[in-house]
Amino acid sequence: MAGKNILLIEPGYKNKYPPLGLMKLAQYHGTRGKGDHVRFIKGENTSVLDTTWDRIYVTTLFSFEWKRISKAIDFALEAAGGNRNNIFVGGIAASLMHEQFVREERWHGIRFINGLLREPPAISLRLSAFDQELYSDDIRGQPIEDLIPDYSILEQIEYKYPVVDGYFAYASRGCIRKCSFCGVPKLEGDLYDTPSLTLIVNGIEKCYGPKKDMILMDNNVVASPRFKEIVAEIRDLGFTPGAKLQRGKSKALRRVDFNQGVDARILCKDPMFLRELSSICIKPLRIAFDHLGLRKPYETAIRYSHDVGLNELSNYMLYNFHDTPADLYQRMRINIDLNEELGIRIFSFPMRYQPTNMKDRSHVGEKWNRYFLRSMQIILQATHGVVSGAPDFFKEAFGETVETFHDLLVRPHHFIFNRFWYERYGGRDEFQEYQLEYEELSPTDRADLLSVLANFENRKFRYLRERISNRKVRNIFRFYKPLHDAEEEEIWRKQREWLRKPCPVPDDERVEDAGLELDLFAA
Amino acid sequence: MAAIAERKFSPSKLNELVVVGKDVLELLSSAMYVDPLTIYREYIQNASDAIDEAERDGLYSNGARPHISISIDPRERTIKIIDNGTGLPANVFARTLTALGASKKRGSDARGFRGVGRLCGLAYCEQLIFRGKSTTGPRVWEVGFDCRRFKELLNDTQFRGDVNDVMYEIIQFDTFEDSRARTHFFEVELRRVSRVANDTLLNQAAARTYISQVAPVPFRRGFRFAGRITKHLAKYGTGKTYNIYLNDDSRRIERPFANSFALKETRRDKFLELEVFEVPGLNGGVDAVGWLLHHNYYGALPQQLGIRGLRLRLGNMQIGAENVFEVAFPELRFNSWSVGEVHLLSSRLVPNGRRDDLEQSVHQQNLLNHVGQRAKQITKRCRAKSAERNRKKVRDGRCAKPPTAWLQSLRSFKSLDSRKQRAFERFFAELLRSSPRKAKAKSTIVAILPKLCSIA
Repeated sequence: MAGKNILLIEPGYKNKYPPLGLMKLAQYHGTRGKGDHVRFIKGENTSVLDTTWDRIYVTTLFSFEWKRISKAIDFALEAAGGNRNNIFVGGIAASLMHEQFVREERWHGIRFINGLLREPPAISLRLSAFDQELYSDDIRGQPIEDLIPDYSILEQIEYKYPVVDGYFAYASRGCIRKCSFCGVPKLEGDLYDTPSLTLIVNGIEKCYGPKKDMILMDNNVVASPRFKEIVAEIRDLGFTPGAKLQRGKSKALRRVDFNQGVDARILCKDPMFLRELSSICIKPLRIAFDHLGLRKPYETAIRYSHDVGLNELSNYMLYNFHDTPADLYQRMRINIDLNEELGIRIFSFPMRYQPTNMKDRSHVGEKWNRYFLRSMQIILQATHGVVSGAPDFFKEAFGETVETFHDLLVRPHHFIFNRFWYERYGGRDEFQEYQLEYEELSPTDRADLLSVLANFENRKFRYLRERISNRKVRNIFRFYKPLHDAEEEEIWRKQREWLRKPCPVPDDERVEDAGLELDLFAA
Repeated sequence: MAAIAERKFSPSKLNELVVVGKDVLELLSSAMYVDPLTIYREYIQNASDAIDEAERDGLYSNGARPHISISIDPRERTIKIIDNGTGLPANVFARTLTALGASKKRGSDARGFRGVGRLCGLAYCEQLIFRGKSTTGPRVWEVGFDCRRFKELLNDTQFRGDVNDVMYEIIQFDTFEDSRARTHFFEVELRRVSRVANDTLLNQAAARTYISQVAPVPFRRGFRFAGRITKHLAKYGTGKTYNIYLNDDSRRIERPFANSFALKETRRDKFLELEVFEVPGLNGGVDAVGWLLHHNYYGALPQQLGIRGLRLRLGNMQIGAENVFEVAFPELRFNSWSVGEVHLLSSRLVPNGRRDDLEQSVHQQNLLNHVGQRAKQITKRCRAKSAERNRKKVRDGRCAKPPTAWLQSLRSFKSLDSRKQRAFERFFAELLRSSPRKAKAKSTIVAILPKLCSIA
């Protein structure tokens, strides 16, 4: 039966981690498995159209990448010569938005897999023995989910994932919480244990050589009743503080990353958790701070981690959900204060909320508006999505108080985008003029301005301006006129040296889907 | 779904319950075969299976050569199809020929296997006779079907009988000793053949054309790819041919392929290259094997040549028509630009009852998948050759440059009268000449044209 042609497709979006699901499928079909020919492509690579594919798997990740995912599925159809029976689509988006995929008429007949491939292969993939489908007799084999990912397929593509030199694994799956903004309850359900971490790590090492890091994608590892055992296992695997991996002549520091973050509400209950975590080379320690209500447990958790010497902290911050801009500012501020007080370094990653079944990133939270979201995006673009832990830097980027942060969000976007230019250099006069006028505005005027901005679009500038009845607002609105490309280029040319500063955080520690490249107003 | 309780009827109760009505017979005869000429295919298929069996039994060791002869007599309105295959032994003769859908051939190498094909003649003549003899005995046996009576009974609303009653009414037996008869043979005789489809059944030319395309006959002598194709197919144990003769013509019927062919009156083309391929099976092994003959791809081949289209064969008998793989092509029309065959090898690929396509299954899908890849490559060749010719034409000054997109689009608006159209053409041409960004200007013109034309 061996020797079938298997095509694996990851849509052409930018992502940080290699597609684990496809890597496991590659293991299932590849030389150590069924002995098929496995080809992996990212995006639409037309060179595969000359081969007859016996099966095509498409993975999906972010639900908001619907367009790129659709393109990949349509391409799979083309590569399959229209034979839908040979196409399988799985992954996160295909699970979270399952109905929307199934409803698409042009994809009728394609099998969309909801959730993990936890059953024996033929059952998980819904292969029919009655129809004599390929490998439909594999009803007792090891679940594909439990296989060791095949790292070798990553060499088949040009795209370089920021993180590859690591053991990608899970020590637990699922989550005890049911946060309404999160996809995990739908994807994985309640917390449950996974097969031995040691087995997976040893398996990967045997087949593909040792890896520097250990990337654990657990959703809430501290909630696991096996938490202590898991940490002990990681220790036994050699990931202790200061551990290095020797490769040839060079040595590199190893690190463990629970990349989905750990739960402050549990960490604050007992210093034991952080004491345990400090016994492995965790870097960075990621703790989520999703709303201001978590302030107490969050602060306690940070203090505990400082106590045990874990000072490299990273912090996910949800915004655009039920929060207000002020709420976000305060959370960032709390981090700065903690940094100052404890002498530690917390990097925050504000993450814009999107409903998990939305096809793009157009969601606007009830207490946000598109203008503010775009302002926030521009501020973050300048810092590569990271809110620095350094107090001075923070104050410069986000303002000293909630009010100044608010005023910053209201500013014309080109003032934010070219901040140094307008605050210190050639654009200073114009900016000061704007500020004077802005300060003159009464609270009512400001509210009027905000309501205009909430619907702001670059190409609608004249249209909007003509309809402003408030004289003062109309007057100040002239500053919001978008710059021509040429004008902006001129500014850039003059102050090139301040445009981009190098990112303070290495690539592999950054957030993968901050959406910084996205043009909010393009849609 | 509620589960059905696993209770069984007793056999006697079931006998009472299950009724096999007379209309089933219609389904097995006239309803089954749309093209009357398929009767030739069905009887040639049975004949070739019988010859295979005779070969296995060593019946041709005395120097006799296997052959199938067909005689068409338009004046008497009879058709006879005779083979010197194994024939049927006396003890099973009647039983075999009157049984419905109980062939013993299923699972064997034989081409037919459902045991209904022989009934196809019922629909197209007044009397259908099977006659034969095997080496086991000296007597010739005959089973006759009264097709006229058969039709009457089917149409008779008063007749209450079932299948058995109908068969009883229409079947006659006979047996006789004939010292002149060969030791083993089988013969199908259709008497008083119907004048269906322009009397196509008794049209010798039509029958010859049909058989030459469908039946397992050898390639034309002098066809330069014959040897290589035959050798390639033989490697996989397929492509066997039989000598089939029509009437008194001493020349056997041959496949219609020739080294060159006429595309139209003024243009000929020739085959340049042979490509062979395998279709791997889903569960290993080779499911099918095929060949393609490439030519200059000037255009679609005329139908009357009888060679166009990627065709499907099992046991070297054609399944379906020239368009059986049409759906595998990115554009249907390119099927008629192609010449080639796919020969089935695996028993997992099963022709449907009508033999106009395959039974749907994953294996059939797999075949289509692989053939689709070939079809794609042919399509590429067609397009490449066509583009090459167009470029050459322009180069040689034989034709003007094809109109650009905006001109084509402008000319497609029928709402404009020719005066306005010319005015527009001049206007845009002038605009383009003066425009610094020509590509952008062109795309803008194409974009605004519909609106502009609707206003004008």
